[in-house]
Amino acid sequence: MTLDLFLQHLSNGISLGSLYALIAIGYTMVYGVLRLINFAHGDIFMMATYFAFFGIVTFRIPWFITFPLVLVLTAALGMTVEAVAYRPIREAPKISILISAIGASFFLENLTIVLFGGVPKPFPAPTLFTDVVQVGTVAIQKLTFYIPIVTVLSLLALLYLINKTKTGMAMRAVSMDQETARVMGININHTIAFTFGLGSFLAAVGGIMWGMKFPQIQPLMGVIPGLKCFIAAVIGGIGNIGGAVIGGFILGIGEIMLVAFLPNLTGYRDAFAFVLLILILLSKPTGILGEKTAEKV
Amino acid sequence: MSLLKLEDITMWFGGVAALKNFNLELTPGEIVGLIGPNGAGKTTVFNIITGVYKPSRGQVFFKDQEITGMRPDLITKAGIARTFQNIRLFKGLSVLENVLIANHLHLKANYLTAILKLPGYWKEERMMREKSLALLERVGLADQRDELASALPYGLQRRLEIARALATNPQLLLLDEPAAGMNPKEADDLTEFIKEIQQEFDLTIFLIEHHMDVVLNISQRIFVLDYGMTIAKGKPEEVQNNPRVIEAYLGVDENVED
Repeated sequence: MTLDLFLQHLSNGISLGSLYALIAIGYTMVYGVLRLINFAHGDIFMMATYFAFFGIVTFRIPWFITFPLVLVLTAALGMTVEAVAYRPIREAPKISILISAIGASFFLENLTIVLFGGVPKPFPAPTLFTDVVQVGTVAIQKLTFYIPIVTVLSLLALLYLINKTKTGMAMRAVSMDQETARVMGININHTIAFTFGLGSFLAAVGGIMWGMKFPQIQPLMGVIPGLKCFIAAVIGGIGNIGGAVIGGFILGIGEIMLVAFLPNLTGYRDAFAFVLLILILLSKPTGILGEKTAEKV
Repeated sequence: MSLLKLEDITMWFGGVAALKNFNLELTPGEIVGLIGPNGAGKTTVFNIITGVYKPSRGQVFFKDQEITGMRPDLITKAGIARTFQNIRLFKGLSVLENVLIANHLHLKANYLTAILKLPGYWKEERMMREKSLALLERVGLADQRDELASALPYGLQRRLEIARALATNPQLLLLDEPAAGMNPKEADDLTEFIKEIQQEFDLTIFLIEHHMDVVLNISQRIFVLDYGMTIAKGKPEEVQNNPRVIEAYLGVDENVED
């Protein structure tokens, strides 16, 4: 393998890892405040790509207006899922909420099939992003560079929000001790809704870029990326945002490199994530950045 | 006018009545003690007042408004703050952040103004910070403001909890065993501190305490609970000499401090 080719694979891995990271953050943040795996997160990501499709193709809204609109709509969708599927049973045993999460996931997938049909649609990626540039001897899509940049900017904004604003402080407080947070006057309904909105917003950022990178959308496209990003969050240490990012990159780069170096294992590409999960769970069950906490009774 | 009124409160947990027909009325500016052996239902009273539990029967009024079973954050907003028996600070937040977060509910700013960084947002943020720093200064924690709450020694954690409660601008402050685990000297300091803040912040204070010298010294009135029943109430000296109280509680002086 030449250096050029290696760098091409690496840049591919980094941009795939960026996408995983953006989606994994949504899992980890929701887990942080609710101790819940939001199984509908992958489907919220899928819905974002459909929102973009309808904005650009059906309503012919220019992309620079459509994309921000998609982010807002997806955030609203995430908050709706929380309000409808999780909030009414928040005091119920954890297993009930988990089942509700799986139900929300199936509902979104099947709703999409019923409303938009199961036939894959082409994602309307603006050529501005999909143009190919020649770097040395290799050809790389501009998108490959834009994705990590957008991801880093999103992450910086997220870290600022969580560490420097009062809403972020409320999110951290709720994740540490929900009951005390309430007694201190924090509206936990708002805080939890905001967390879902934020996670879904980032999933939409990832979804739009995913659609441009793999320009075919269909109702079940969120399932495998959703599972992988959940794995990324677990590998990094669920509940830890930095961990989700690291997990996303490990998974993205690892997956691309596996295919690059062992081409005859290409068919096992998706299995890579699961094998990695098993190895991590065996050696460090709390994940890379996860802290060991005593289970509260 | 009564500030807080509990009418005929009963609280069942399964088949156990943690509290039976409990009545209480607090007038503004009072310091009232609540004592009783472990498991008597004292913390249950606090949890009902702050909305953590909804009583099985009975009503709670704050400033003549019914607040029975209202959401805890709304009750805090109405003017009731508390501390916890087993300190419940946000351990991963700094000392300053713990106080800032309690200030949180007085902000008018919402997500939109926060995101857009409108001028009013900065002004409020700055005021909130100044107010929090002043509070920390007042309770003697200004130097530790950037440390993690979990890094503070025990006695200071208790003070921080009180500062955090004060940051919500309460009229009624509920203190759940503020002197727990303190030696007599520390307990004396705390007694003085509570008296001072009561004056300074114009508070009504309702406290649970096992240290008898603290309660007797600080309270104008005392309620005694045993097995969920009010077995005595009145001035400290009356309660002290009440035979039922001595039998239920004060009589076993070896274990009183546990």
